[in-house]
Amino acid sequence: MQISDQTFDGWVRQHHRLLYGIAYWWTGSRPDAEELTQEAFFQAYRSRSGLRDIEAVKGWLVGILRHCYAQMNRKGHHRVEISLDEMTEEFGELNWLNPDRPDLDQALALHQSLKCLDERHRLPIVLFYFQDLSYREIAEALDLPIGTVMSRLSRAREMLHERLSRRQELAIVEKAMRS
Amino acid sequence: MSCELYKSEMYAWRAGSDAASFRPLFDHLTICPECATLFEQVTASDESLQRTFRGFPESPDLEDRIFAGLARQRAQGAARSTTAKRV
Repeated sequence: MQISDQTFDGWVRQHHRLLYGIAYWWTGSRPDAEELTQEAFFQAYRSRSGLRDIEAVKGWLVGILRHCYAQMNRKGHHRVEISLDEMTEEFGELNWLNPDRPDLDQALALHQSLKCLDERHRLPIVLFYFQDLSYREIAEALDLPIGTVMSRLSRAREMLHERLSRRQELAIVEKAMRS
Repeated sequence: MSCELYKSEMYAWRAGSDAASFRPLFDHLTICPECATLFEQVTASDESLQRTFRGFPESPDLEDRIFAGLARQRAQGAARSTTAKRV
């Protein structure tokens, strides 16, 4: 398929924030997410003639992002795990940029909980909560049958909810013990 | 079907899902208060998680960096095709 530079640039404008957000929660690191997003668009540009259906561009780009993420993990190029202080600092900036920000404690709890999930559960759960992708698009992006995606998502959501509610319960107990 | 199986159905459900395939779950929720409460909790927690996922640190110059990288790729591609034509 012939894709003009103008069309491709339009995709960058339209989808770069989505790819960056997904990469951010996959990696838990802003520099890694930036690197992955750039690399995904560069690889997508080089292989753009391989896109079969122009309507499926979003899933195709996320699929390339996943491929880049796997490459990054194989090469061990990702950053050393970021500290809680760095994370708090990043969210401090977010607070300034986005007045509708989520609760800082919840964001940190989510980071910690995602880290505990293995990759086959973490990758689809992030795509699921972004809500921009259908089950079919998630399946295509992860190169998995739709049934597998649905069962992994169901399990991953259950694990995430359990972890987060356990953390909340612990926080309540700690607070009660301190007071 | 047991409550445990309906629980996994709850986690498979998503707003906008095909209503017919989840009818057994919703029928069960009308007769099982425990599952109905859990479903409410899961739905509320989902909304809060969606908000959290959407709030990630901005990267203001990322778009510019992508375009700069693409410009480099395009320039290299143009240089290669010029060389190939000469040969």
